[in-house]
Amino acid sequence: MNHQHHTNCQDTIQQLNAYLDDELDPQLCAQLEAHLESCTDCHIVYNTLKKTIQLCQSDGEEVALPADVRQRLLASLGLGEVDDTE
Amino acid sequence: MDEPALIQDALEGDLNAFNTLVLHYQDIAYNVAYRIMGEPGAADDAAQESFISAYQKLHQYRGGSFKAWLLRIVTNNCYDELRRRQRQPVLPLKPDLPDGEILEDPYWLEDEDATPEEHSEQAELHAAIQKCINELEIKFRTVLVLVDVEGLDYQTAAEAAGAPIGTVKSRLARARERVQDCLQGFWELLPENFRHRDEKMI
Repeated sequence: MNHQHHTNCQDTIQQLNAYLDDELDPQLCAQLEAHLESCTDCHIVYNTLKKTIQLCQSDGEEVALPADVRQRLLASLGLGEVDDTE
Repeated sequence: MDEPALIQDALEGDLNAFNTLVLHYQDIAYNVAYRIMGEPGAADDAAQESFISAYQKLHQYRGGSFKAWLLRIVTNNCYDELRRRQRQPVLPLKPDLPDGEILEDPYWLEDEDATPEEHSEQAELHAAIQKCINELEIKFRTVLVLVDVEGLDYQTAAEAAGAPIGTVKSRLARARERVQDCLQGFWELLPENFRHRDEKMI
């Protein structure tokens, strides 16, 4: 691994989160993708991070505000029973 | 939903307008509180207090993302409650159920000694992810919940967390790294393409 390659790996690792979150500048995306194609180590880190994010996202099943909590809240605000079917 | 008009009406004392905002954001507010607090009872209180607080502070809203403004109140309420608990730890009470009755709520069923045979693999993986998220320090857990679990972009997450965007990025990277390390402790539950620990050379 030469110095240039090492630097690219460091840059890549630092930018991977933003890349996976679609928050990276398009020009940097292209550079990063080119590096990932040629670097097995970074590609492994990329895959692992991507899977970690997917696992966290899979934990995000929506939980509805319990009906009794909502009724207590509305009562606190002086709204009482309301039709929330809209 | 005409959000700016509803906010203006609410500012002028129209509670029904505020109620429409509550109905629109109640679930994301509750979910954020639930993931940060790690248990439903505390999330109930945090969500309720947050909306009441939002109504009382509505005149302080200065435009921008109402969702981010509201979630900032939610995260602040959660922080306050967690700090209070650190100073004065409270032991959760298990529900009082008749003999033999089982409450189908994973929070109460979580058992660190449970063998893989006792739950389905999917349920175990879900519990492992939740455990790893719950083990994060609050500031790391908050950004991971906002970005990964709730799908907020960096800017909205930064406003909701009350932190600069650069701080959110670094906390998110650290949080994911810690969850990744933590999940390696649940090796047998992980999808095959996630098991790269021995190959990680850099």
